[in-house]
Amino acid sequence: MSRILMIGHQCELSEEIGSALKAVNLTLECAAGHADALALLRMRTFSVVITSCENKVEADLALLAEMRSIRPELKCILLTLSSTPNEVIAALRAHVFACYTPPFSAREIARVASYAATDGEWKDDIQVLSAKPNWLSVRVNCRIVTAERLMTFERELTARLPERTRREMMLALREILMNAIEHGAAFNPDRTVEVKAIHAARSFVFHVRDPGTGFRFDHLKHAAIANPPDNPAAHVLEREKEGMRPGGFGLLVASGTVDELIFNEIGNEVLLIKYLPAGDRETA
Amino acid sequence: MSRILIIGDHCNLSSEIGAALKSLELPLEYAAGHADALKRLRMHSFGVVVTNCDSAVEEDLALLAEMREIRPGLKCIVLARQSTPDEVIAALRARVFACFTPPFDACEIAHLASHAASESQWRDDIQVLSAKPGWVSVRVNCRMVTAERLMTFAKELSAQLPPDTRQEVMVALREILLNAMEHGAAFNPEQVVEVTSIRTARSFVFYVHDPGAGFRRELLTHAAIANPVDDPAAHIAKREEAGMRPGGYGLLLASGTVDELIYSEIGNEVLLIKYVDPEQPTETK
Repeated sequence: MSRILMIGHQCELSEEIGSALKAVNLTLECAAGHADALALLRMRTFSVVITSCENKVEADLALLAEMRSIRPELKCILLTLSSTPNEVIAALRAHVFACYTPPFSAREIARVASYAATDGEWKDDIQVLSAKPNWLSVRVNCRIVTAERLMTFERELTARLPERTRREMMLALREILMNAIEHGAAFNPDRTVEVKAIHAARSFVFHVRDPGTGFRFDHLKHAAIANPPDNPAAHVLEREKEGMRPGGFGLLVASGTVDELIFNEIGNEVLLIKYLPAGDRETA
Repeated sequence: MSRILIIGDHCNLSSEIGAALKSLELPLEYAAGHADALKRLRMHSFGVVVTNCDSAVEEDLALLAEMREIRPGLKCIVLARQSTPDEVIAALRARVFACFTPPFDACEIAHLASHAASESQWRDDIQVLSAKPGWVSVRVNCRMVTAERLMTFAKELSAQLPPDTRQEVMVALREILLNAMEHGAAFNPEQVVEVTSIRTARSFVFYVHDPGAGFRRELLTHAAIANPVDDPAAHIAKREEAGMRPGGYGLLLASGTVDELIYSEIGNEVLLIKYVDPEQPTETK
């Protein structure tokens, strides 16, 4: 288990993250600022850095470049006041491990930091295929931690959407992404899923393609989305019969939170569309 | 140049198509019906069959299967009273050369039939990757005739759209598809373009991905879409300077006929979206 360096120990968030990391027995040190962080990195080995939540992305990326000249394999969890799509793209291209803006969840950041501390095979897990502010295409390896990482960037890319719309889109994307990685690739880290996020003027579109052979809707008896209208819990019994863990609500939740959820013929590609009401387009 | 067999010698359309083909000096015959067509195919070699415009797609595909028992390499242009998305998909999978429903344009049909008559490398030009009524993905070779063929199927797949909307979407798709093949692949038939057509409850989406290295918008000075607001004809002078043919309106036209036209960073992927009012009456075909 490698050590974590947290920059800016003054703020409440840093303390909360620190407590959460200590609770899972992770070795943590704090740096007072950028210069102190560089000095500490020269003296000792750290594999993860969590930046101060009061900085801008641009400053953090400049710092990351400096830090990687000392520790080339350093993983960076970027906390920042705000982000623009261009900054999120720059962070992805700089192989930032994860990216957060307010409101912060100390628990979530600590959880991803603990992944980062134990992860050796992360660097090429998210490959940017094509990126501009309204169109991001990535290829990601099929690991839960990679999906978690990607979700942090997608959340930032949707930052200009109204909060409720954004939350609903993220919920749907998360379910579909996890399904793709689990059912389309059996969490095989050597396989990849492609994800496109396209922000049009009147809609937000996600397209997810997994490497699997797809599925047939009539074989989805273990999923709530296939329940007959007069038996909304039919899948629970199916799952018990098959010895599956409780659940099966993913597709139902996803389809309920976006305007359109469409699978291709085979079932290995899915399109999620959220239409933006006229009043919300101005903020997009 | 192979011979063309037109089924249905009694209708005006058949005569018009025949006249247009004759003016191109293409050898052709008429068959009175399906049985007569099979008989003629047994007797003579034909490279292309144009089906009767009064028939149904299902019947035409059954006939095509019979005809290919006799002439396996036969190209078929399906004319039908109407089509459903399922039937269009079946036609694509049966490697129909092109598909038309009313209103028919005899010149356009004859034009494609003449291409069909001189084509030998057509069979795998349109590969269905995935197809169900709301979502069709194909990979097509970069040839003008393949683009023309694909457009006939795309037109049928969008048959449920209101006529004006459908026409606008088709104009945009045609421009983008030809751009992809020309600028993304220099019409190299060994290269492919991927096209996905998705019909949702409230939108019609086309996605086109070409094999090229893309383009930079600031280098598009030969295209009308890049003209400065105060000089709407700037690209004409640029085209003359570069010795290019007149034109350059494709992207402008495409962007004006759909609601959203979005390029990827590199410029080799494009998304066209036409929003459809769910309340708007659609043409039932």
